Amino acid sequence: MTVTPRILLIDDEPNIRESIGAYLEDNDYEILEAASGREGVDLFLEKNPDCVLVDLRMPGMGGLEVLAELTEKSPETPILVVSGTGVIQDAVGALRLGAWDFVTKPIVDMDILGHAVAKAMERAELLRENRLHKEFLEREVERRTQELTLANERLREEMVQRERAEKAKSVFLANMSHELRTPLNGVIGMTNLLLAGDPTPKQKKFLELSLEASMQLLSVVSDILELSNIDSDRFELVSETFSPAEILSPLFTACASMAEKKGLTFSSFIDPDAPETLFGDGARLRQVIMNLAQNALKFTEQGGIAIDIRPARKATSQEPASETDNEIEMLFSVRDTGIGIQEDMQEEIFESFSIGEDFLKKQYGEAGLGLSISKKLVEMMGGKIWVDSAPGQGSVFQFTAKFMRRPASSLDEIENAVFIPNPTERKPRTIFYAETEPIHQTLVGRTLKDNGFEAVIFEALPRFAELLAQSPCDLLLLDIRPPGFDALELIRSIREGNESVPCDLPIIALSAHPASLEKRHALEAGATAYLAKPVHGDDLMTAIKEALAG
Amino acid sequence: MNVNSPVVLILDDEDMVRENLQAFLDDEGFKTLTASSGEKALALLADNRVHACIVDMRLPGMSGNEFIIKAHKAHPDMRYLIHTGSTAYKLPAKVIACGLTRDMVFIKPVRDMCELSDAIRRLVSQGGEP
Repeated sequence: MTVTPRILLIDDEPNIRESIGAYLEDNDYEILEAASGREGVDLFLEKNPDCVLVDLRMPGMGGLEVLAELTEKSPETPILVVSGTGVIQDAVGALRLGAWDFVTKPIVDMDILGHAVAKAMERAELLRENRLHKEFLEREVERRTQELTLANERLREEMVQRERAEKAKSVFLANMSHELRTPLNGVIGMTNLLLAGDPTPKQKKFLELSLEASMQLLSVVSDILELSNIDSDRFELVSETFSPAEILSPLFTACASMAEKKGLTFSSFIDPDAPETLFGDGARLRQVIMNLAQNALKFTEQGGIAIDIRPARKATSQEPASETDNEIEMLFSVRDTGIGIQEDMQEEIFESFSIGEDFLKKQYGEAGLGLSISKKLVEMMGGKIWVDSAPGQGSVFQFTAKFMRRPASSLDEIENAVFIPNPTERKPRTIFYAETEPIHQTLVGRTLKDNGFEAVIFEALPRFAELLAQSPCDLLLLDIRPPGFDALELIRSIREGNESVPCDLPIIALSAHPASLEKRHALEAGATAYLAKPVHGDDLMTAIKEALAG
Repeated sequence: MNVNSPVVLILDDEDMVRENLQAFLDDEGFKTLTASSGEKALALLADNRVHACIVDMRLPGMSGNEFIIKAHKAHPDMRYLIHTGSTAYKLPAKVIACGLTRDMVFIKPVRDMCELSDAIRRLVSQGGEP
């Protein structure tokens, strides 16, 4: 359905209204006529036309006034000004006031007027559509915003509920674990009593099997609780200084005795280059190694188990990119000669209760949740865990974990106190370092260089005294147990003034033998200080600083 | 069991655990007393000479920790062994101040109860007469 557009003509001259009106009617417009400005405004408000043509020069209310009032009342309605020649300035003023177009009188060609009207109405239509579209968009944005707000609220609510559920789950698991453990107390305790009585050998065997099964159930219950604890957001690793050798030694003793009972060999090795102390969660580290060792013992019937611990950088011969000065990545491996694991199972065994495996031939089921717990712990320690294995060929479980060498705050202190070379000292101090082992040459040499010392490394120890005489040095670092050379004798000789170096030259003795006897020998021979290998960078710097300070 | 046998007080709110420990420790040559709460245990200590206590932690009324702190004040020579079902149990500083160490904490159930009797013997041989 088309609606005839309605045009309001405001002009005080009847013949002009007539001629324009006739032309527009011929062009399918409906015409409203007003003979004065006031009448025009009233008619406008009453009939709400689609377009207005207004004369500028009228007695009473002039065209500009009409224009101003209508533009304010209905800015979307096109108003065209019809003005006589010679009043062009009025036309410009009218355009400024909001007229859409102007047509000069006398109108020679009515089509010009028709075109102007059609154009103005077309533009008005476009503007209206534009406005409607804009309004639609605004409504749409408003609606979406509301939707998003609602969705956010729902999410927040869901999060609160999830947290609540998580907490309920933890409480439930803790209670369940307690409820399961309580009767197990009875089962295990009473079995113990029967075993302590005087059972026949057959009864004893049954009781021991019953005890074993109870303990297995107990460990599953504990593992479920443990896994849920680790999964919860509240779980955090402890940060404390620990000695790997110290915390692992009781575990290794226990493993050795269990291995012996099964007729297996057991060996453990901690690389001498591994720091003596680390900063991190030692108890959790022990837990992971224990899980792996227990599995190895469980699935091995002949041969043995070997545990190996070393800095990861040493094992791969390349510097791990993420290791920083204070951070060290360690590599732990547990090797067994057990049943092995087929390749397609090697990732699944780290998942909790892996469902890929048919439970009727559940070969690895007994491994329980230990590997899954281990994986989570290792990942929290910034490392990864994997296995290399083949059926019948045994398995090597390996994992990496990152630790700090020392607490971060004390590092700052050390850096401020020792590591920054004295700026007033222009010439670098020269340190002669006598060492035959390439690893120590690199490690100590680098530490010295990093701290602003000139390091000269000597390998040819028998000629060392001779070389010493050739250029001056500020301090001597000396491995006191190199093969085929009596370093203690050299120290004594320097102290007695028999060598061509100052007899009070600071000398730091190094040895891989940490025994206190070794230290006494070194100090008695005249060494300024003694350090056990492997030497920590900060220990070395402290010793050097003290020795140079005299 | 002779007159000089060490006396052990078993403090646990679960009947089965008390009975179990009592039967076992009796067989191992100890004299035993039992209590189901810290309050009852303190009352028993007032009238009996006790060398060592096996203490559960989760108890009605005062906790095992509170019991140890109170009992230690009244009987400084008495020794303690903690027997708890909580795998996450950590010795509080106040309990460490009563002379307890980590190797005196046993998580229930203990696989081999001889570990408990061995630990009590070690404790009693260190301690003086109550």
